[in-house]
Amino acid sequence: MDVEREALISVKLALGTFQSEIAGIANTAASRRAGCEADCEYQIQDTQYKVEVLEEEVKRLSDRIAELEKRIEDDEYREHKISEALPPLYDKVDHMKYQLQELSAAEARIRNNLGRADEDSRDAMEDQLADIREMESSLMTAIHDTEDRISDMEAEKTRLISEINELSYEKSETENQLEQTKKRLYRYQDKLQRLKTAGNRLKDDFDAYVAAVEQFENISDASAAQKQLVLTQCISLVDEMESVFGR
Amino acid sequence: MNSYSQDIQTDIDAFQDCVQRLSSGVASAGTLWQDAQYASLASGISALAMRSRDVLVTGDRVCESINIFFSIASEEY
Repeated sequence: MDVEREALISVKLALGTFQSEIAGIANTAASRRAGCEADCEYQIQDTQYKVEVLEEEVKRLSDRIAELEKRIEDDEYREHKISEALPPLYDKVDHMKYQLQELSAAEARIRNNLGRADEDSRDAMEDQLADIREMESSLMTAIHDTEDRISDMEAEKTRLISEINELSYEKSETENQLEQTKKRLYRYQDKLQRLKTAGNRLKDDFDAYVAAVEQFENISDASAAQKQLVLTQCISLVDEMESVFGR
Repeated sequence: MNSYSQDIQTDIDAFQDCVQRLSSGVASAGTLWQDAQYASLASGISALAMRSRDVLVTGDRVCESINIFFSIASEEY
């Protein structure tokens, strides 16, 4: 009977230890779940934020490319118009210079004949020379104005070509940036989708784990308590028998 | 391995030890105590140990899911 009593006590102790160790495992599991799921939610929100930032960046870059295309198109149109307008102006200058040479030649001829002319003719020739000088002056002013205009247009054409090159370079760089940003966006969109799927699976797995732990804690607690009660009664019975039989 | 899954793995290992110690404690008493009552007790403990498998299996699954989730979360582009 002593041996059996020892066994009863050791089992009772083992059950008591088990019961105290198991107590609270469901709370621990629920706490682990809360901490983990909060972090999971943060990870999903962080990825969602990155996707939104990249979507905005893609839009910004696309808008910038459209704006650059519009400016390049406008500049090319203006440069084309200037290029079309320049040759007639050069021709006009050439023509005016030719007219000026003709007038100079006429002036020289009249001056050459001036010494041999009589009084009446001389007055008329003087009048012609005055007209020629006035025409020369007008022509030189017109040539000067047209050359100034050509110079301004050439400068504007050079500026436009330079601007077109700069805008084209910026457009090319922006297109590269857009391509890279789109790649990142697609990867983060894919990551977000996979995170959501993995998060749903994790939630289901946590549901099953926490339920299993709660169930085990409830069953084992009731079972161990009931067994301990029986064992206590057995030990009391053994103690009583020992006192009666004097062992 | 992620810290969350490490914590849960630690919980599971401690849980497994706890169940094993109970089973061992009851089994060792069997050499000193052999009757119908012990057989009933041992059977109850054995059933309890079997139920603990649900906790171990679901716990392992959670650890695996946590590792998969945080592996994806660590990807940067």
